[in-house]
Amino acid sequence: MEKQRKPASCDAVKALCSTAGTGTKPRDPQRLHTANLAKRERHRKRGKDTWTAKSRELSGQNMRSINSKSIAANKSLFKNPVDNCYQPQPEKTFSAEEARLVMKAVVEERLRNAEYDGNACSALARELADCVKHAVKDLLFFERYKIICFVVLGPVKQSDLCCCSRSVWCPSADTYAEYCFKNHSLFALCVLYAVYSE
Amino acid sequence: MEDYQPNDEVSFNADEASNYVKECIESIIGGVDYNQNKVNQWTASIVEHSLTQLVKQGKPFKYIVNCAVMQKSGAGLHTANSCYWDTTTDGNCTVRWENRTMYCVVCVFAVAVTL
Repeated sequence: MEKQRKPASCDAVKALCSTAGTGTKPRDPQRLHTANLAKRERHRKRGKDTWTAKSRELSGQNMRSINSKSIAANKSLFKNPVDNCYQPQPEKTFSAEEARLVMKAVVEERLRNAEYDGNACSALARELADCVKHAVKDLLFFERYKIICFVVLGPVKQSDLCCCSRSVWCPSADTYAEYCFKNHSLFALCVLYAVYSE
Repeated sequence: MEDYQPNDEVSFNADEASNYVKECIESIIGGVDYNQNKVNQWTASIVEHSLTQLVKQGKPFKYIVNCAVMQKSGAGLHTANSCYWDTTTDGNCTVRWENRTMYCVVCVFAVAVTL
């Protein structure tokens, strides 16, 4: 069965089409503008007629609730703004010299009269690393710095040891401090790295 | 190199870092005996090569690599570390290696960078 064509739309299309041929664009912009305005008006009227009262009420409520929630959230942010906690540079740069003095005091106090013992020195090395880290962290309070303490401990014997370190970090904020202790029985190398956290 | 998405939370992969370091050690002092004249050069090469491999991964970390090489003479060697950092994002790995004439201990510390 042939579809019934809407005469109104067909006439509107025909009115827009040029008389010269098929498929060409209308040549009169004023007529096109008028036709578009008429089309918009028809859509607007259709929208009012087709919406039911219930659906309009629901959509209106949803929109109101969304708007009120976002407005309340924005208001709370305005009253209690969240601080930006990113600080690219430290207020107080870590002092390697001060850290070295603290390390020297802790290591000398702990190892002054110590003797090397293969079984006990394993725990001694761990204890020394913890003590140095806590001392630097608690006595010299540098904000936003992460601390890494590395200790090497061994007997004083006819053997050779070489220790080397490299890093990829921010040279303006990050630094290190080292201290080497030696007595008649053992030696201890303590290196402390301070890395800034932005 | 992987593409890094700024919102991704990345934690340090110790196994992967350990493999890179082992390869570096093997390539530099794999088949050689201890030599006092060359040990400085060896330790510097090990840390620099390891650092280069780690940085090539393109992860958002600051790295510290430490290497200690000791001649085998019957003496013991103890290493320890203590860290004050964010345990969810930062990490370390320690690689112990030895051959007939020397010990090598390499420590890698990775500190996350906030982007």
